Amino acid sequence: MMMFDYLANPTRFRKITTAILPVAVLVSAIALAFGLYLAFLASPADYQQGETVRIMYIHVPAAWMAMMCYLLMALSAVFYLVWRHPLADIGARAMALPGAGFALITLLTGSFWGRPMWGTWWVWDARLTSMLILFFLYLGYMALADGFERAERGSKPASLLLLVGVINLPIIKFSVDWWNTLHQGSSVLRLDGPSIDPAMLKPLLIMALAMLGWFIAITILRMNTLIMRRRITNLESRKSWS
Amino acid sequence: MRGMFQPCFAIMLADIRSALRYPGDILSGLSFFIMITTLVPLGLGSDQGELARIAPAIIWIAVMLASLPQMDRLFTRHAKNGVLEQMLVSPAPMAMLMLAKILTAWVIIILPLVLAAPVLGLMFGLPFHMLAGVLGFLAMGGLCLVLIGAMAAALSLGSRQSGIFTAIIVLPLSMPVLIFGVAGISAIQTDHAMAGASTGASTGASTGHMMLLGALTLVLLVLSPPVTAAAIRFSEE
Amino acid sequence: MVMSHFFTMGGYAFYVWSSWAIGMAILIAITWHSISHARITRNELDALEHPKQQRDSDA
Repeated sequence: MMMFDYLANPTRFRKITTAILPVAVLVSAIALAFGLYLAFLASPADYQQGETVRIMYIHVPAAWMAMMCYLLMALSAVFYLVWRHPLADIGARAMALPGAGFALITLLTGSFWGRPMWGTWWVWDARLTSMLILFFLYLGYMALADGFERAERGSKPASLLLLVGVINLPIIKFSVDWWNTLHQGSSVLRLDGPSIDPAMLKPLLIMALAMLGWFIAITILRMNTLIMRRRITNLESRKSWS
Repeated sequence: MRGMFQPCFAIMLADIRSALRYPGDILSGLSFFIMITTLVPLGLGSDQGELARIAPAIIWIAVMLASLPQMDRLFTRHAKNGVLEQMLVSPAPMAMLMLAKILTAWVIIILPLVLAAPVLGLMFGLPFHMLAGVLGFLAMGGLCLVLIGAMAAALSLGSRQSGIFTAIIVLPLSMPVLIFGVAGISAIQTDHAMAGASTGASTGASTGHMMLLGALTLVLLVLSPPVTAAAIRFSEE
Repeated sequence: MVMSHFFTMGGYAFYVWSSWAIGMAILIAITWHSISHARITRNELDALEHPKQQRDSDA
């Protein structure tokens, strides 16, 4: 709350974010370079999955980011609905596209991983299906937030939808898990082995850091764009009234 | 107390009355429902065993699709003629009025489909003695669908393409209903197969599914009316 | 030897490189979209806030 009050001033927000932006870009670039090195050169092939395990280093961090981003958006929705702070709404709107992008990356790379490992592009595995639903929730949020004649009219319904989604996601996950145990074929290879080798965990974390930095930079950029867009709308409506 | 419940009854009565005045809405939903289910055997072949196996899924998906357009229009007329504004200033809590509206919507939208389902069940080779259980699942799951649909309709009220938005919101959220509902009806089938179809009572696995669906209904009963009420309030601001 | 192994990915080159290419393509597309939107919006706002300067610079 304090943070939102402090950042409420748009010029102060601009000043702080323009300071953070290059740092985020730099961290992201360095982590990406290091992560790529670790993922492709300095980590071993899996004894079971061979070289395809290198898909994991983009697939798993993207899945983490997709979930984290949705939680952050839901948190912003709470801030927006309770304290009516427009910046919280702008934050949620700014995060939607990168979040949907992470969910899409997770789905597509998962598909490219499943084909050689499971022999099929798509498995109705519980986690895959839940991620697909998460992607649909992102699409629903974006459609609703931008779905009204007056841009800001969509903010409250869309924020409410985020909260409904966050309550429903565990239920959906549970139901799909439960359904999956009914239908589960024996051919599916579990992705999570007993424990992960540190040589594989390190590139995972570094790639996650690279994505986090990218996500922060993109969110700041998009938030600033949305703030400018609102200024434009205000100026134009003032002009048409005078 | 009377002052609180009276507006609820008034809403229920008015909605049922207008539904009876324009029976075309109910009939078109019903015929849509029957047509979807009719298309499946035509596309899939008429093997009775195969049809009986997929019957639960077909009936559920048909219920979801047939109820969608009607749920989308749940509030549009009330928004136009100012009834929603009056609801907001009425002494009864908005969430309770919405609950009344949702229960009425269940009667108007879901009940006709549930009553038509036995006929379709017979066409799909579901034996007659299973129908009570199937009806129970459809009735309970249908309530979940209306609870989700009301939220979605209220959230997309006044948007540019409310119909599509309602569908985009409803379909992912109603996935658990589909899963538990289909599994429940399938379980009735296996229960009967194991009991040798000697007794009419369904025991065993289907009871568990009914409990899960019931738990989901309870969660939605708590969640949906306040969310719907809040969304209506936003639309009237 | 090492290089060829790097490119063939133990026979899984298509899957490994496609995944990374798609992932990077999505991230780059979002980046490009965000930057171009920011640029367009900034220009629009500048034109509204300083209409005179804009005209001067045009002339």
